[in-house]
Amino acid sequence: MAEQIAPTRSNLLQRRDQLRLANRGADLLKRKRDALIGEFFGLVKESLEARRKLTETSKEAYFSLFLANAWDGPEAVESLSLAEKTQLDIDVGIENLFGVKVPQVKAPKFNTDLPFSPINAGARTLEAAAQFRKLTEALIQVAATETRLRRVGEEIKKTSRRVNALEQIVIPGVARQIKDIRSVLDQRALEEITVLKRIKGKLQAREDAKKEAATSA
Amino acid sequence: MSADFGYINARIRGLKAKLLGPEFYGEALNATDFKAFSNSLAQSAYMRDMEEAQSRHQGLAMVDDALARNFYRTTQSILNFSDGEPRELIAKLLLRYDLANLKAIVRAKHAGRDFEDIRAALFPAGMLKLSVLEHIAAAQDIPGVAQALALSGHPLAQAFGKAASRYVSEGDLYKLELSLDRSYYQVLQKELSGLAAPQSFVRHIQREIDATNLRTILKMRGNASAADSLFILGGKEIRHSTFEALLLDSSPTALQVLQTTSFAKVAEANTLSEAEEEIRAIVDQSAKRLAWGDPLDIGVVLNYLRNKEAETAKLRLLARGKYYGVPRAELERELGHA
Repeated sequence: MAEQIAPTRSNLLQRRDQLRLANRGADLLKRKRDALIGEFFGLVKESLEARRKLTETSKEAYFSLFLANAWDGPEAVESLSLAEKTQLDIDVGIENLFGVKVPQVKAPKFNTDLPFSPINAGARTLEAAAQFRKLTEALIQVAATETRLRRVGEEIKKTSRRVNALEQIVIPGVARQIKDIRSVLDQRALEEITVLKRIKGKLQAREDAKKEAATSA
Repeated sequence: MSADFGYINARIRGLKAKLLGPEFYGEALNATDFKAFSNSLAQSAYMRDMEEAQSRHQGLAMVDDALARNFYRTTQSILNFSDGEPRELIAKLLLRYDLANLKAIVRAKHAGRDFEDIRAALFPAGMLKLSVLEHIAAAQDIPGVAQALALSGHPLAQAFGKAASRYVSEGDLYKLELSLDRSYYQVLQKELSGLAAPQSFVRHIQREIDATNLRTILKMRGNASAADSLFILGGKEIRHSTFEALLLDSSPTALQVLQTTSFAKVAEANTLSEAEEEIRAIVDQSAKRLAWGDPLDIGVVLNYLRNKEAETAKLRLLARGKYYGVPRAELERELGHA
């Protein structure tokens, strides 16, 4: 339902200010959306590269585990994996990207000190462990890039919705209100002119009648 | 000693005849999938083990279980048909499986793992049978493991007890394992001298110690500070000074000092696993020479055990290859390393 506004000059001025603000906002949001789209395409490239690296490293890691299980034996691999319950701390910061808060994940630091004796520890198993460290890094990189990508994507959608709302609803609405107020104000001005003209005509007629009476007397 | 090994080595030759030949590997490589491979394995010398494994597991776990079962059934059978000093010597060869199992148990106890986790890491091919290992693994903590091991009268029990006492005060698994590794080689050498083992066998053990030291160098290069604790005494060609120098200098050219040793080919390896393959080939060759040198001595048993280990590894590789659909060329290349 359309909002009822008193057709006053002050409301007209207020609506004009609103329109100017809405236009400026829409313009700014469009510029933000364009910048985010640029960033999004950069992230897509980064994300594809991270995915490619993940596929490559996972292939290598699982193949090295395959060889470790075959040559060193599944029991030996299992035995070395028992030594330590590894906990990996990931340093996650927050970066402000055109007003969007996106996570910034730093590459994890692995403790490469062996918790067990290296004597008689299978070389293939140690190589597989090193490959799995690389796989973990690649996995974290993919998670970080794709989270940034998702956040930026969501922000683009949100910004587009806002631009559409401004362009399709707010700006036309305010423009219509301005038009309505102006039309009412113009009508009133016209009426006033007509009344004034009639008063002037009547005064003129009275004046003329007085003059005519004086000349006939 | 030779007279004692006459019967044992005749039995070993019987076991050797059961090792899978090239025709089996050809057939296995041609197998269309994992099912076809496991079927051909079930029709080989592994029939009984495959039948037993099929009732407990499926897929790769079934083949792994059958291979492990077959391996430790073989080692137990060798111990059963041996007696006297030859049995003692064979038992020393199998001591390393006990060491590996004890290390698996201490790792699990150190990290607070469950009993089920430990079971998956046990390979009872040594003197300690599965039931004994499970009893040891059921101990609450590492001192408890030491107590349970002491009851078994195992040759490593005393050394384990000392290492466990130090662990209680320091809580350092790395030191505990190093201590066990060093004790294993000390006990092995001491027991061999007590048994008056043949000189050729002692030389082979020295080569194995050299191989172990060399493997440690390759795994730990650039970490010279650990040289004293990592070096195993008793080798012949890799001296402490060489060990320390190679640990300190991680450049590929440093390995050229190996040119004057039996391990010259290791210097040409590009990766750790390539180097390990070279080392294994050299030790295999040494075991073969020992077997050919005197057919009535421990060398025949040693060489058979190494062949059996290689067969188990090849079958694990083929099983995995077929399970995951690894291309034939890749499998052939990997099998060539055995």
